Formats: sequence, C-alpha cells, structure tokens
Amino acid sequence: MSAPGGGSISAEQLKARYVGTGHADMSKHEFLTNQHRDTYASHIGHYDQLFYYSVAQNQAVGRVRLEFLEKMVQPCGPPPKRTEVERLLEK
Amino acid sequence: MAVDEAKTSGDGGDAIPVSSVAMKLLDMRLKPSSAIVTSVAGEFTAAGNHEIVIARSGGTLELHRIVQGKSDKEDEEDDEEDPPTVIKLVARVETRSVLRSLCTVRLTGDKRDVVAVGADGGALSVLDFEGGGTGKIVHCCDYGKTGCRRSTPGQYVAADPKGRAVMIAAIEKRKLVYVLNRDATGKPTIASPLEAHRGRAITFDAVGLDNGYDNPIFAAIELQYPESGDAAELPNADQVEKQLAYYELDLGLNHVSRRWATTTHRTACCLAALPGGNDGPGGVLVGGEDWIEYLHEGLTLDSNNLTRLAATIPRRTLHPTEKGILITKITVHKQKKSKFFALAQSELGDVYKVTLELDPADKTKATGMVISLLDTLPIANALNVSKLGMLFLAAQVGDHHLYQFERIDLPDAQTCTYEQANAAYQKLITKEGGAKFLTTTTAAQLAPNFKPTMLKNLRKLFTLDNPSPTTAVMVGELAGNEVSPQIYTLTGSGPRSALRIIRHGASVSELAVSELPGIPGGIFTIADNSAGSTGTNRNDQYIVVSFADATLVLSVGETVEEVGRESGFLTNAPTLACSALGNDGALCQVHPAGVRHIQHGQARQWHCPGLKRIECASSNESQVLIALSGGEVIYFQLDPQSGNLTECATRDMGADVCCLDVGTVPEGSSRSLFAVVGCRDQTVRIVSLEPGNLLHQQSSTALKSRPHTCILQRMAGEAPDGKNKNAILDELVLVIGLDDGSALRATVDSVTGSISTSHTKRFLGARPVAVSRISLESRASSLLLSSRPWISRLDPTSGKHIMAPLSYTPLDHGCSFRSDAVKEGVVATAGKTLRILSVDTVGMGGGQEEAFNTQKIDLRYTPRNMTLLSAGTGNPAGAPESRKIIVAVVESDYNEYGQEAKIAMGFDGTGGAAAASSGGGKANDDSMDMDEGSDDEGDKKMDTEEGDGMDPEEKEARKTPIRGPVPNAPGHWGSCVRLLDPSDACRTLDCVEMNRNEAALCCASVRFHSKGGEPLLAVGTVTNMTLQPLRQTASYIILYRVVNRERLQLLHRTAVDDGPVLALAHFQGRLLVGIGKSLKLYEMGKRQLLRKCELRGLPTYVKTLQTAGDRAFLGDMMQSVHIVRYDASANRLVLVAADPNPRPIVSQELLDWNTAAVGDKYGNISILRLPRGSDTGAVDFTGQRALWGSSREDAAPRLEQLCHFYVGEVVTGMTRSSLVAGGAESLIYVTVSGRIGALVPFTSRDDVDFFSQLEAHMRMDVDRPTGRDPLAYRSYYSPVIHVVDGDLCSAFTSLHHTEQSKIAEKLDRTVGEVMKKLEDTRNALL
Repeated sequence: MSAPGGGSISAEQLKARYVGTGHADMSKHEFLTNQHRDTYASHIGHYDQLFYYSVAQNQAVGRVRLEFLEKMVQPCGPPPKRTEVERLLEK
Repeated sequence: MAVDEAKTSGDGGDAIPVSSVAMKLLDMRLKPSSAIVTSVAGEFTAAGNHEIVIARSGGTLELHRIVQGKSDKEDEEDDEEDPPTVIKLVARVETRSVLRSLCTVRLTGDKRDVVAVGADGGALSVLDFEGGGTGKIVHCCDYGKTGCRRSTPGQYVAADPKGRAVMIAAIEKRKLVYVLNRDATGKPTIASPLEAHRGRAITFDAVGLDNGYDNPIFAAIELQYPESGDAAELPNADQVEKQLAYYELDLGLNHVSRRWATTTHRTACCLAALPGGNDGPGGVLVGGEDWIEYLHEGLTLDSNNLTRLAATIPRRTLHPTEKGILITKITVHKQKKSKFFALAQSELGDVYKVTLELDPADKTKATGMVISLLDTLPIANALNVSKLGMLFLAAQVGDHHLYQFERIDLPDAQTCTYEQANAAYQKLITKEGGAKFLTTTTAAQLAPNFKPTMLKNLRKLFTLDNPSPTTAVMVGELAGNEVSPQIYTLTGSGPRSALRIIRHGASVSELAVSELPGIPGGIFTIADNSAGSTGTNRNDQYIVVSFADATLVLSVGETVEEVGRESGFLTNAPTLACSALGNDGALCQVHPAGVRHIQHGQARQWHCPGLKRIECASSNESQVLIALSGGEVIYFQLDPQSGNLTECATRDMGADVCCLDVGTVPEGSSRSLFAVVGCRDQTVRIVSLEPGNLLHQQSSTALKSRPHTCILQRMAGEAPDGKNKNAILDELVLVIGLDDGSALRATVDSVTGSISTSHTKRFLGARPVAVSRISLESRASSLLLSSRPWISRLDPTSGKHIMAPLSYTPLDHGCSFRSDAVKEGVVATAGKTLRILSVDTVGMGGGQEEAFNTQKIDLRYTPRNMTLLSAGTGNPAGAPESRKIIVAVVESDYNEYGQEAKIAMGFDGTGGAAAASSGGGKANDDSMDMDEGSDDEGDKKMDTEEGDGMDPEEKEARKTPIRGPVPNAPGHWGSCVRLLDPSDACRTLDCVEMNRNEAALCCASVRFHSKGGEPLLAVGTVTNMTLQPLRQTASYIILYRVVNRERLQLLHRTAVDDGPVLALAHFQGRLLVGIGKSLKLYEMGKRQLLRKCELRGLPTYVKTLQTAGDRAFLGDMMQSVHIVRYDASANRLVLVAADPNPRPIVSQELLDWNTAAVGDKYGNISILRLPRGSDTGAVDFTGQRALWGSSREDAAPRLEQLCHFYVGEVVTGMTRSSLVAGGAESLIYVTVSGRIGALVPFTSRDDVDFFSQLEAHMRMDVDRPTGRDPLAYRSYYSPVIHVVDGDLCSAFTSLHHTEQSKIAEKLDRTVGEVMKKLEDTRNALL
C-alpha cells in the first residue's frame, strides 16, 4: 500500500484513516461496537431502510434517524469493566 | 461449498449445468418509487423559473417546475376557469445509486442554481439542468469508497451561499471541503478536497453558513464519542456533549480549520443557516427536542439571562408532558427587504414559524426569538418554500403537496418567545448556565397548548401521488366487471393509510349514460358549422347514432334531445358517415343508398348507380369518400363557390373495400391531401386527393390480417429535443385497427404519401379494433376500441407515442365530443347504452413509462396484511349458493390509542371541534360479532363540522392528516380488522376494532376440512407488544366467520405462547401458524384451536409462511427460508431444507413447488430452489424414523440461489400474477417507497442473449451521474445473478443517436429494431 506520493503507508496510518479496522488485541465489545456502528450508519444511509423502521415504529423518520445516530455513541453499552488481571496484562 | 456444487451438478448421470436450466429474469419498472428522500428548491433551468429537484428513493433525480396558474389572466373576464397551479415534471435522471442528500449551489456570478448530490458512489457530483435537459454532469469527483459507509462522505452536503465551496460529510469523522472556482472560459472548476476530519465525531447535520463575503464557514452538529477504553474512565454516553462546530475555509491559505464550537442541546438534530453578512444576523437555528436555539459565534446575551437564545414550541393538548417533541426539519426563507423567517416542523407534523427579533439599531444582531404555530401538515422529508409564496412538502407518508401561503403574519396563533423562556429562567435560576433549563419539563410548563385542526394559513394547491409506504400487493380481477386485473396495494401509515386500487390505463369519468332503443352500429358527432360559430374549436351540434335500419339524431344544447326529420337526415336508414360541410350550416349524410347533402333545410341526393350499395364511407368538412360494393371508390368534393357537392373521381380498387378514411383538413388548407383505403385483400393503400392526381395510389402496405378501421391523423407536438423548442413536430400518422385485435401505427410522409417501413403493432384485445379521432389536451389523439378501450397519443414532452388503456367497460363505437359543458369528451356506445365520457390524462405520459390510475380507499391504521376470502350466502334451503370474493385487511398502529380511546380523549383525528359524540367509534370487546358495518364516523363527523360555510373543494384544500395522541408508555396499539367488497369499489363491509392494545398483525383464509371446509378468517394478534425489546403479554389466533357475506362473527380465540403470531397459512385443511420460533399446526375445535403438532427451534421469528401440497415455505426474520414437510403418517413437521445465507426476510412468494422468491430487508430479491430429490427421505413410509428423528440444520440440504437482484428499496410484497387477462405470469413486487416492479421470466434463448448483451453495452455507455457503476449497484450486497436490469436497457432510448447506433451495430440490429424489441417486451407485460 502506498500513499498518493509514492511513500508507503504503515498499518498504523491505515488504521487511523479507516475507522473501525480492528487489531489483534481487539476485545469482543470493541468489535461489536464497531459492527453496530457500521450497521446503524448503513441504515441511516439507505433511506428505504430507515423509512421501513419508521413505519414499523410509527415514528417520524427524523426521530428514527436521531435515535440511530445517538445509538452510535455506545451501541453496545459501556465497555465491560476490566479485571485486575487484564489490566496488568495490558501493561 | 465446492463440494456441494459438485454434488448438485453431478447429481446422476445426466447432469445439467445449473446455469443452462436456470431461470433468467428481466426486471421491469411499472411505477417508479414515489417516496422523496429530500428535495431542494431553486432556479435550475433558467433564471426566473421556480423549480424543485427531487431525490427519489431508488436513485431517481427529478426536476419539477411549479407552473403557476393565475399568471396573466387576472384582468381577463373569461368565463373559463383559471388553469390550476401544477407541478410539472421537466427532467428525470436515473442515477442507479442510493441518493442521500442534495443541496443547491449558486456559483459566483451565476443567475441559476446547480445541484450538488451526495450519494453512495464515493464521489461528489454536481449536476446542471440548464435548459431543462437531462442533467449535465458538471463534476463528479471521486474521493473514497462506494457504499453508505460510516466514514465515507455523502450523507450531508452543504454549500456556501455565495457558491465558493461545498462541504460533503460522512456520518462519522470525515468531512471534505471542495473549493469551487471558474476557469478562464467561465467554466466552473472544482479543486481537490480539503480535509476537515475529526476522529470519533458523529455528525448530525451540516449546513453552509451565510457569512457574506468573509471566508466560507460550515456549521455542523457533532458528537464525539469517547475513545474505547476502560468503562471506569469513560464518561457515560448521556454525559457526552453535543457541539455545534464552525469549520472555516481559509481561502487565502487554502485550509480548513475548526474555528469555533459550542455545546448545544443534546437532542439537537437539524440545522438551518440564517441570512448573514449585511442582510441579517447570520448564525444557525438548531432544532432539538422541544427547543429551538439560535446560535452564532459572538452572540452575547446578558449574563443574568438565559445564556442562549432559545424558545420552546407550542404543544398539542393531548401530548404527554414528559415526552419531548422533536424538531426534525428547519428551513429558512428569505423575503424581500432582507426579511426572513424559518419554518420548523416537529415529529408530529406541526409546522412552526420561527422569527428572530433584531436589534432595531443593528440589523445583524438578534435579541429575541418568536415561535408561533403555523399549521399542521404531513410529516415532511423536505420543506421547500418557493419565491411564489408556495410551500412544497415532500411527505414521508402519503401524498406530497404544494401549498399556498394565505398569510404569514400570525397575530392570533399560539406563540412562544425568548422573553417568556427567559422570564421563567429568571424565576428558577439554575447554575448550569441554562443547559439544564432547556428540558422537556420546563418546555411543557411554558408552552401554550393547541388542538391541531384543519389548515388555517395554508391552502393545498396541488398533490403528487405517493403510495409509500406500500406494505402488500395483490393482483386480480376482483371488481368483477372489468377485463384486466387490478393491482391492490396496502399503502400509507397512520392517518394516511389507504388501500389503493391501481389500474393500468387512464381513468375515465362518466358524465352521462342513457339507454338507446337498440344496439347501435355506429356513432358520429357533427360540429356546429352554422354561420354564427367560428374558430377551430367548434362545439358539436348533433350526435348521430346509426342502427341497423334507422338513424337517431340528437341535438346537443343545454340538454341532449332527439330531433326528428327537421334535421334533414334520412332517419329510416343507417348512417355510414356524416359531417358538417363548409361554413354555412350544410350537412352531409352517407347512407347505404346514397349521399345526402342537406343545405338550408333542403336535401339533395346522390343515388348509387344500379343495385350497388355503399359499403363504407368517410367525410370531413369538404370531402366525401365512399366505397361501393365491389371495390369501387368514389370521391366527392365541396365546391366552395357554389356550395355543391360534386363527384370528382372514381376508381376501382380491385378488391372489396372494408374501411376508408378521408383524413382531416389541415388548418389553413381547403382539403386533406391523402385518403387511406383498407381492402379485404389485407392491404391498406394511401391514395392522393390532389386535384391533378385524384385517387391515384401513392403507397400501400400489406398486413397480416384484414383491416377493420383505419384513420389518417395529424399529430403535432413539440420536438423531443429540448434545445430547439420552436421545432414543431407535425406528422401524419396512419392508425389501422385490425380484425385480429391489434392496432398498427405508421407515419406517412406528408408530401409523397409513402408509408414508413417501421410499423408499431400492439395487441389490444380480443375484438376487431375500431379507431377514431379524439382530442386530448387540445392535441389530436386516437381512441382504439377492442375488448378494452385504448388511447394513443403523442406525449408533448418526450415526443413519444403513448398507448394506454382506459379503465372502463368495453365500448363498441366511439367518437370525439365537444360542447360547452364537456370540452374534450368522448361519446361512445356500449351495448344498448350511449355514454358521454371524459378521459383523465393525469398519470398518462408526463415522463411516466406507463399510465396507471389510482383509486384510494381510506383506512384507519397502518395496513399490515390482506387476504382474499370467499364468502358464501350460507343459505340453508339448498338454494344454489353464490359465492363472493371479499378482501380482508388487518390494520394496526404502534404507539397509538385505539379509536375508542381517542374519541374518549376528545380527539377526532381529522380536525374540527372535538364533540366526542357517543355514536363515534365502534368498540366491541370479546363479543366481536358486530352489528353495523359503517366506519370512520370520525371522518364523517369532521366533514359535517368543517363543512360550515365551506364548499367541498375548499374543505378538501384545508384537510390535513393529524397523527393521534402519542401514548405515554410503550405498548399501546390501535388496530382493526376490516372487510372490503372489491366488487363495490372496495366499500367497507365491516370493521372490527381490536381493543385493549391488541394488535392484529396477520391474517389468512382457512378452510378446516374437518368442519366442512367453510372459509374462515384467521387473524394473528399480540397484546401490549413493545418493539424495543420485542415483548408481549399475550398472543392469540382469532377465528372469524363471515356472516351474510358482510359481517365478521367471532368464533373463538386461542391464546398461544412462545411469541408473536406473525404468519398464518391454510395447510392441508388445517391452520399452520408461525409463532415466534416455532411452527404449529392447528385443527379447529369447538371453543378453541387444537394443536396437532409443532416444530420448534427455528432461528428467530417466522415472518412469512406459504404452503404448497405437504410443504410449507417459511421465511425467518433473520435466517432466510426454511422448507418444512408434513409427515402425515407420523404426524410430524420435518425440516427439509434451509438456506445457508442469512437473509432477513420481509416478503415471500412461491413460484412453484420447489421454488420461492424472497425479498429481504436490504432491498434484495432472491430466488431460491430446493435441489431435486432432496426431500425424498423426509417423509418416512417405512416407519423407521431414526434417520430423520432429529432435523438438524446442518443436516438439512441447502437451497440453491437461482437469481439475485438488488432492487434498491425494501421489497415489502410480492405476488405471482399476470397483468393482462390471459397473459404470461410474472413476479410483481412492491417496495416500501411505492415502486411497483415486475420480474418477467425470459421465454427464449434469443431474448436472453439480446438483453444480456444490451445490458452489458449499456453498463459501459450509460451516464453515471453519481459515479456509481450500474453493475456494482445491482450487486450491492451480493453479486447480481441471472437478472437483467430492464431500466438500464430502456435507458438505451435516451442515449445519443451515435451511441445508439454503435450499440445496435454490435448487437447486429438496427436502432429501430432495438427500440421495437424494448417496446414489445414492455407491451407483452401490460
């Protein structure tokens, strides 16, 4: 992989550029959070899907869109508390 | 996977490759989707035009123009009505991509707007509609990946009001700013993008700030979510701040920076920029729950005050105080003299007018805000205020409307102000600087209440039909007296729910019907040519009806009356042709024995020589052409000097003549130059009527069948090319109706009289086709009568010939009719009746491929499902039982009170004073055998109440749908079951309201063989269901009997556990029910249903269920299709096969015993087939059940995917049916956004090759307005398999001619042949 100028891009840079690319030490929560965010973003982008949900919930499309966007903040709730062992392992 | 393929293809010795036997389908669009994602107003084609660009769901961009009716007719005292204001389609661009956002850009120094489109192509495209063309692609610059991804820009597009830059933003992180410039030649250029990314920031809305000529600034609502990490260190999701951020583009440094940010309301979701610079205060309005804030950098308010300029919105009386009302849309309109106002719409549909109070000394300083209620409108996706004082509203649900502002100063409206909010704040000083003050609770205390009623300040002007959401479809000839089937769709939601009956063709309004003494053999009208009447558009003076041995002459005046011999007509003989001659009131009648010329009340006769009789004849204002038996044709012409009809020429055609037409006299000349003669030897000849060359044959054409009627017609229209508008298309068209029921159209050279070689032939019906000339929208059209009446006309906008059937009973004879009351009518006969009709051209042409007309029947709640019931009289006395088809519809709305509860609250749903009378709302509890079938008292009451001093038209213009009161807690449902009579225009027979939050979700007709096979209606319900989480307190299967073919009688209800009942089906004389994760088979008992057997352990929820023989196909809500077989010997349901792909099924239709088509939640259609022989072991006749003792998913064979296609919209309903009586079947589907499409199976190898090749060429050559590759788009989630995109193929017609001929050459055909093939394929379907 190379940048437009020809210089190579490291994996770190690519990760910074593309949101949601995982890494080896990714936790399940992180993975799922990313997956849910991607899903919500796709639903918001496709009007027909957003509209389908809005009809099912009998709410305005604007409300459903806001709810989905808000859910992107923490789609799977706060991350689980790490145990002392995990904390030590990370260091 | 590879192993599997080997197995299936290597099945037995005579393995046939799947691809060679597989189904190939052609996707054709019958009705484009009508839902609007967003729209923008501006001047796109030329300065001064008021236009709207609409982004339709499904990837179509449309340019519509508001054509104002009362333009320069104000002073004219004309008794003709002003033409109404309409929205006219000007151009349509198929983008083949997912459209997400639009914004107008007015480039510096330009007087027109261009439109910037955010789609899923990973490119910013700028389209220019100059001159009304098809949208020139100015720019299309790629910046990233395709698709609606989280961090690919495209969700928001915002432009600088001065046209210097465009920002395109993604939902998360990425924002790109493009600088627009002009090169030396004045052509707009676009620079490479500047990044304004912000990691972890979710964007809620973005807008270009009006900043005068300072550096362009874009405002965005952002929320930066915390970095993933330890929960203990992270703030709670609710504590994260939402910010309004300004991004400044420094034009000097060519750099974007985040200039300023402020915390805003956490529920903020929409933005609108106010006029700035020297014209206004600048800054933005931020809409959130209950509050609208005005924010701007440098806005300073007194520190004692509420720190932000905010005001709450007036609230509905019945809205719970603890529930917030979200502002979902704000739009700003600049008025003259740098005045402006904003319109904000809430999620309930109430539209508020927002004005800022400006410092009188400094117009750019805001000191206060006023929010007042304007009106209640449908919930909108876009509000476009035009400079004409009109509001275009793109509704989410139901029809789009154009409104006229009647007033915009609202002195008596409910109002909230900043002062009021500030005063309350002073009383209750909170420390958080006002942030904690802007809550729903304070808003509810502050806000005045109102009751939503009809429109007070706006008036409906024009309506665009919008059947979205469409939830189900059914095709069938259920009306009972029509030839071709109707399409029944369940559409709309909440107060705009409706059943729509869609018929192919133009709708016809019947103006008069009267009985005739016999069956007529012909009908004619005679224009008034008396000296007093002048002009080209003359009214008719007589209607002449010819019978086998008599002629009836009716005079047209105030009423239509019979006149006897005083008309001068021979009334004891049939009439073959008649017309008015010249300008002095002379008439001509051709009867079998001769030609009668009536002048000043005196008749002169020309008698047939010898024993010959006149076979057929035709006449116009100056010419008469008759054919004698034996093939002799005689031509008469009116001598303008003497006023005599003189015999001019005779010719023997050499064959018996069966039809002829003398043509029409073109304006400005004295005679028609050509006549057409159809002979029994299956030829049609054009003969000259020029003086020196009389009756000389100019050309002829051979036919496959005998001609029945023929006409020569002048069809005029504008040239299809938009550029040279003055080029008038004027062609002479020959239309021939053949004995075999088809019609043929060819153009005739208006100088030489030669017939063009490319004919268009179309099968119209089972009877010989009678053709006659009529006028539609003051253009010449033809009426073609077979077993169905048809209209053929030249579409003035596209220059194409359009053929459309009329939704009317078969007619025998017809001709045009014009009188004072009926400007453009048709007088026709059907059997022994005479009818005066007028053809409605709405939906015909105007860019639509096919003409459809829609009849709407209002429903109460969102319709979910429908089924057909065959109801008998149930008469005991052994009388022959007559059965009747009834449509049953289940309707339910989440978060809505039932009808009874609403009325008890004083809400009547449609405006007007409440007056909750006891008569309204039919409530019935467990004993649901209802008495009366009357429905929707609410509506009727409204009609009478609103009707005080208002005519119906005015009432209609003021009517607006109002959403019912929102319940405080989740789990409330309003629901009903309804019976409709399709043979009586879908009148409601019975409507049973469910109560106690019970919601009917599905229905099916079932016949229990053990109970005599009487058709019963089974309805699946849930009680107190909440959607998040999906939970319910109980679910039931209710059985109804239809009594007296009109009433529902409750038989019993059976409580079921395990989950909601979402699917029911009749299965081998029993009822098969999908309940949550299980499938159960029920037998009917006396007091409830009796469970016979069940299959547990299905993946999520059974969503769809269909049965064929002993097989059941069930669609799971997440895990695609499963096939289940019933083993009668062991009384077991056995899982036979499953689809390995996870598809969230929304709709399903069986194609045959082994094959099912499914539509999933992402907008794909797939066709799945059970591999041959894979269920042989399922039913065990030996009794050794060990083999299939456990049906494990991995053991079950897998379904093969035959076809796959991305439609682009969620497919909510499918049915296998033909759209013409006796036609081939195709798969008709509807989508949530209102599209009706058909997947047509190919029948020949040649067609497959032709369309596949054409599609391949089109994929390369077609325009890509948003940079999306058509193949990639159709393969959105999974590669397209064996489906040809018919839309893409029909785009061939709009290509440039050189490209067309290039493709046609590669296909080894001419352009005409390709066009004809495309048209024929379409015509075969409809």
